[in-house]
Amino acid sequence: MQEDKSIRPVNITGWGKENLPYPEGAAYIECDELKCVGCGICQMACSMYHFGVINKDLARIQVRKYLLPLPKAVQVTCVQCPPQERECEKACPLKPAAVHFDRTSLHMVIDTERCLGEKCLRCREACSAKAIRIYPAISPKPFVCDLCDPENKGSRNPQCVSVCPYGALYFKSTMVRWSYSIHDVLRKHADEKAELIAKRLYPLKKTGVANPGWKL
Amino acid sequence: MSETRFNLLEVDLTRETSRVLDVTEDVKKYLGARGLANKLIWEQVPQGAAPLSPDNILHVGVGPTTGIIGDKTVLSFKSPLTGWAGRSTVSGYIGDEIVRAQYNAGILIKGRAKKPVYIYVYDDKVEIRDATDLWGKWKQETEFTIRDRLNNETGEVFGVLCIGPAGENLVRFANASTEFVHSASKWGCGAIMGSKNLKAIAVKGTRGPLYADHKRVWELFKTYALSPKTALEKVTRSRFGATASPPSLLRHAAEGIRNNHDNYDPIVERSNYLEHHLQYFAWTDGCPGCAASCEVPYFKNSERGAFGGEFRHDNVGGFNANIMVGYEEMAEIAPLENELGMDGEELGGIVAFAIDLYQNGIITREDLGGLELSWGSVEATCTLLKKIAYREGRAANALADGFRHAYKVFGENSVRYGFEVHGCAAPTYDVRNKQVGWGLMYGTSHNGARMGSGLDEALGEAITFCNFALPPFVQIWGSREEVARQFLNAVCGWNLTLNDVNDIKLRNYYFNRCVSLREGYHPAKDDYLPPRAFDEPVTDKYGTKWVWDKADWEQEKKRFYVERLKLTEAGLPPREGLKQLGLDFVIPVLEPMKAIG
Repeated sequence: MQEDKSIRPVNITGWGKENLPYPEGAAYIECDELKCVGCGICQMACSMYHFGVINKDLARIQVRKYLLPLPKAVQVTCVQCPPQERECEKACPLKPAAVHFDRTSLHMVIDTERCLGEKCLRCREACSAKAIRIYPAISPKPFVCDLCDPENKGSRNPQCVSVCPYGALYFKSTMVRWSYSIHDVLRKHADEKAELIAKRLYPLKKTGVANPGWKL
Repeated sequence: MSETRFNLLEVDLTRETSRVLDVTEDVKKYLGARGLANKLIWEQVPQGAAPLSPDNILHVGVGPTTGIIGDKTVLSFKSPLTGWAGRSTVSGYIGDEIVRAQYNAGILIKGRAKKPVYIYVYDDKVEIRDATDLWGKWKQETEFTIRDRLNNETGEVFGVLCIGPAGENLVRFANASTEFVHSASKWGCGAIMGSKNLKAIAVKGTRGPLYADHKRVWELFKTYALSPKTALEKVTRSRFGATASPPSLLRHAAEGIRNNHDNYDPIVERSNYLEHHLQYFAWTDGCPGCAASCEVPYFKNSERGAFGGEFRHDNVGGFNANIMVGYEEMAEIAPLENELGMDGEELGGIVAFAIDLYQNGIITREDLGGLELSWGSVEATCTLLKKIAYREGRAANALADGFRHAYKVFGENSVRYGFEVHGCAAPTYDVRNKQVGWGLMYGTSHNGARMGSGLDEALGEAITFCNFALPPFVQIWGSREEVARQFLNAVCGWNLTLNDVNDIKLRNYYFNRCVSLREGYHPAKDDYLPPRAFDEPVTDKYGTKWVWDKADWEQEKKRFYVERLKLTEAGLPPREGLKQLGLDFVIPVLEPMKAIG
């Protein structure tokens, strides 16, 4: 790892997650799908922080609602993949890639000046979680989770984690024990995660809430 | 800071057209959802129109705080169960989608489609789509199929509100539901959709809510989301959801035992929310913008089969001990209620009534198509539910039209067995219990015996407060009115005072009562309690005996009209009040009906 580990939080108050220390070095937001209730307050915080408006579709973190057949919400966001796993960066047609991991500020960045925008989006295609977002009504350029350091100054302070009422989001160091290698495991599309959760309800099918039904 | 503009999407199913109307001025006067709907019903539904005719409207209403203070969508219409002003409220993310599609005054549905359809709304794209292949399908399959198709088509997750077979068959207490577990149940909303040949409404919004001051809304909202008061609410709601209230009410004789006949009985102990939670809890789910998620679905896999669903007070409350079962049995019955699409509270009363009639020989096995009804039988109950939803046989067909119609079919002797007010079953919040029961509220309601006819709801259901989300807001800001004021000013860019908020509350309350008065409700003939409330006492687990004395009731009712409902002693809206609140246009209509105080 050549990443700068000297980054520390700058003027951060109200973190509210005292039992989980502020991560040192490279870090990512981990979604705890089974704790998520689908309130979408993370999305409100994200769009407010980055765009100054409450609009869940402008959020870098997404919460999708499923019927499995019971209702279940599943979140998805960028897990700040390690170099070997950075499919978005590899897919970018530009050299160096417009979407890349910034080694100083320790998070993914999209160079909007060079990015080819909505006509390309190969990064989004390559990401199995579809964690790269685009909202053409505001900008033709995509955006990705920057751990709430929009100016790329190294002052990461994920708003979604600090507002999540259920503690279903963790801001975790990638260097904690074995967690470094798990990004490609976590990097799943919400639909795929939902399919797995649905298995807990076997033998119910998504089209009915009783098995074998009410054969009366 | 500019004021928020309010858009109403109008869909005419007869003409197959849609348009967007600017209703900002109306929203300033009445707010959205139920407040705006009073005006829509008053102006657009002809006086005396049959509720299931194309003349009736369905307003799928959202309000300024939908998606911030809970996520309530309020559906308003003229009720097929009572014939008066009706409304059903539903949680779930469909309201948030409507707001994000920027139809922040809701969707107004008029007319009747020629064949089964569903309404598709994707931001500014509005279509009336064929639903012939979905007609007849149960609820879960309907909702899942539509969501799946639209997800394949657009990649988006749509909010879908749909009806089941009961709505299609115009059962007068049919409901509509979303995310399977959230139901718009009261006063027959599903039958209204069925009468319009409308199987479902599917909405996706990506344009974002229209707030005057996003920053201020976020400040207020974040104060709520991060408050310890909210955290406290969360830890209870997220664990037990709404399963905790029925056992408590049962112990206080505020919920029926054997068709509201019996005193405390050990059967009550079988409605145990901790046992239910430990065995069957699946996970906690919630609505957009709510930090105290109260939706707790369960999954039961036993030798009898696998069942999934969610207990709300409204889908188990009227059942439980009222048909002599506990949560174990309800875990299998409640999903069927939801699949068929009927209001559980009404159904609880209706099923208990039917069993009682059968046991007392007033209806026969032939009337029930060979079905033998008995207390505590899951099989018999489920079979009866299906018969009611499909209107199979003489008895079930009569029951599907509610108490008032059933009395006519079953004869004078059956009246004694009904525990209802205004033709609406009242199995829960037993009217005899003067502490936790709702005798006065039910007995003076101009909508029918359900919660939702008081002054608080007149404000709350116009701004769209969710009563389950609201408590921390009230603790933080002091009162419902102050919460309303703070959020309305931030969302709408207004400058309301507390007096303004109180005026809106009273205006909406009077107006809703006036709609019912116009449609035939009158307190002199309709505000009553069932005879059993006066001559059949119940004793709760703790030995307290509950019953009404006739003279007490009359006196308390008058006091309730004046003190709680700001009406005259006769239960009518006062003329001066109507004039002051800008509702003088109702006076010429109601004057000849002797419905003005």
